[in-house]
Amino acid sequence: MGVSDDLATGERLFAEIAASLVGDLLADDPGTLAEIGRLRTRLDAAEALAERDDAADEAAILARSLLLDLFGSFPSRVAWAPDRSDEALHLRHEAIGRALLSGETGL
Amino acid sequence: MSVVVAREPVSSRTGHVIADAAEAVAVARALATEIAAGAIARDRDRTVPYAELDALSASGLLAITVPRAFGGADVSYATVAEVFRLRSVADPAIGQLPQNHFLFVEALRQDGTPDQQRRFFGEVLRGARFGNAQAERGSSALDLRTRLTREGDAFRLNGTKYYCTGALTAQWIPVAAIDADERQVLAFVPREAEGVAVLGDWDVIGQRVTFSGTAQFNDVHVPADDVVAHWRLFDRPTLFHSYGVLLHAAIDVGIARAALDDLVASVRQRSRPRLGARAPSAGEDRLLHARLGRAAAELHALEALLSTAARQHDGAAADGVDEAASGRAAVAAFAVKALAEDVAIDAANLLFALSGASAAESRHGYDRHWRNARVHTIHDANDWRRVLVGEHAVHGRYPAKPVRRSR
Repeated sequence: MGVSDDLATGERLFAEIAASLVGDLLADDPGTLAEIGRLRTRLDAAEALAERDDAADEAAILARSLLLDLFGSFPSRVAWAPDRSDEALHLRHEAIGRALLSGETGL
Repeated sequence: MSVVVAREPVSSRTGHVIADAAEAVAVARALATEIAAGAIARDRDRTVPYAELDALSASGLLAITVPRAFGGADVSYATVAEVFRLRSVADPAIGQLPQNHFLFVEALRQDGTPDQQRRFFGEVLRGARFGNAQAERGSSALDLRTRLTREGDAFRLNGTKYYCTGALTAQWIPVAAIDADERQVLAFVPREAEGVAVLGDWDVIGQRVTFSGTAQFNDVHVPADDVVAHWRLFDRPTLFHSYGVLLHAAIDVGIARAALDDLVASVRQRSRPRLGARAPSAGEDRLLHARLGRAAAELHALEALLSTAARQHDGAAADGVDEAASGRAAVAAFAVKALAEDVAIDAANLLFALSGASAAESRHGYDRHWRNARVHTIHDANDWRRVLVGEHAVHGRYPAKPVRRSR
C-alpha cells in the first residue's frame, strides 16, 4: 500500500474512533481527548509531509506508524489489522538515517 | 536585581524596506547565518543582543507585516512563520525577541486609528522595535492590575509587568492596561520615557538572552493618541491569538532543527562507535541510523505542519474571519505548537543520546537546545493543547477565545 492509501486508512480509522467516542463515557475525558488530539495532529503532520515532493519515504513511514498508533491507542474501536511488514518499520527509519549521515540526503 | 539601561533608540534611523515575501525569506536566511555564529557565546555569557537586534531592525524584517498602504510588504502568515523559523534555527532567543513586536503590529492593523497606524508603522519601517509588557506576576490575564488613569487630555500609566520579552531592547513598549472604563488598552510608551524601568532580572535556564524580566511603569505620561483600543479585538472573531501561538510554534520548530543539525554534524565527526555498540564506527551504527531517521522524519513532518497551519491562517484572512475560521486557525496553531514541543524536546535529548559523552562538553553548547526548548514550551500546558485539538475532532468544538477584562 502506498502513502496515500495509508493516509486514507488513517483518516478512516480516526473517523471511526472519533464517532465511537460521541456519547461514550470517555467522550469528555481529558486523557482520551488528549490522545485524540495527539493522533489528529500526527495525522495532519503526515498528510502535510506527503504533499512535499521530496519526502515520500518519510511520509510513508509516518503514515504506516500512525496506523499502528491509532490501532494501539483504540484497539477496540477500529476495524484494522497490522501487517507482518509493520514489524520492520525501523528498517525504513534506518535507511533514512543512513542516507542522512552519508550525505546522500540532507536534513 | 540589576537595571540594564538601553542604548539610544534606533527609531530615528532609516531602515531597509523589504519589498516582498521572497526578499523577506532571503534576508532572513542571510541574517540567520550572521547571528548563528554567536549564539553559544551569547547564551553562555548572557549578553544583551543589541548588535543582533540592531541588525534585525536594519534588515527590514520587523516591518514585513506593515500594510502596503503604509509602505510595508504586507507578507503572508506563511512568510512570517518561515522567517521566525529561520531565525530560531540560528538563535531562538533572537527568534523570540520580536514575537510580540509582530503581534503589536497586528494590533495596530486591527484597532489602531489611521493616525496611530501612520505614526507607528512609520516607526517600524524605520527599524523601531516594540517590546512586550502584558503579563503580570501573581495576577491572571483576566485581571490585569496595571492601570491607565486620565490626567487632563492625557493619561498616567502605573503597574509592573513580567515576561517582558523584548522590552529591554525596544524603542516602544506597548503596555496592556485597564482604563477607567474597565477596558483593556495598549498604551504605547517610549522605552526611555520618564517612569519606565526595565530590569535585567531574567534569571532562567533557557532562552536566556530574551531578557524577559520585569518592566515597571511609575506615573508614566501617555498622550491620548498613543492609546490603542485593544479591547475591540476581543469582541469579534480574529486570528490574533492563534497568530501568537503560530509564531511560538515556529520558534520551537527552529529549535528542533538546530538540535538535529548539531546531532548530524556531531555523529559525522565521530569515528569511534558508542561504547557497547556492535558497529565498526559511529557512522555504521544501525541503531543510531534508525533513531536518527525517525527523528528526521518527525522534524520534516513538523515543518510541513507549520507551513500548513500558517497557510490556513492566510486562507482564513483571505476568505474573511468568522467564528469558524477563527476556531479552525486556533486548533491548527495549538496542534503544531503541541507537536513542536514534543519534537524539539526529543531532538534536544537525542543529540546527547546518540552523540556520546563528548557531547556534554560545554564548548559545544548542545545543552542550550534542551534548555531553550524546555523554557520556551512551558508557557502553557501541552497536554491541554492536545485536549483542545481532540475536542474539536470529537465534538466539533472550537477553543474558547481568551477573555480579558473588558467593558
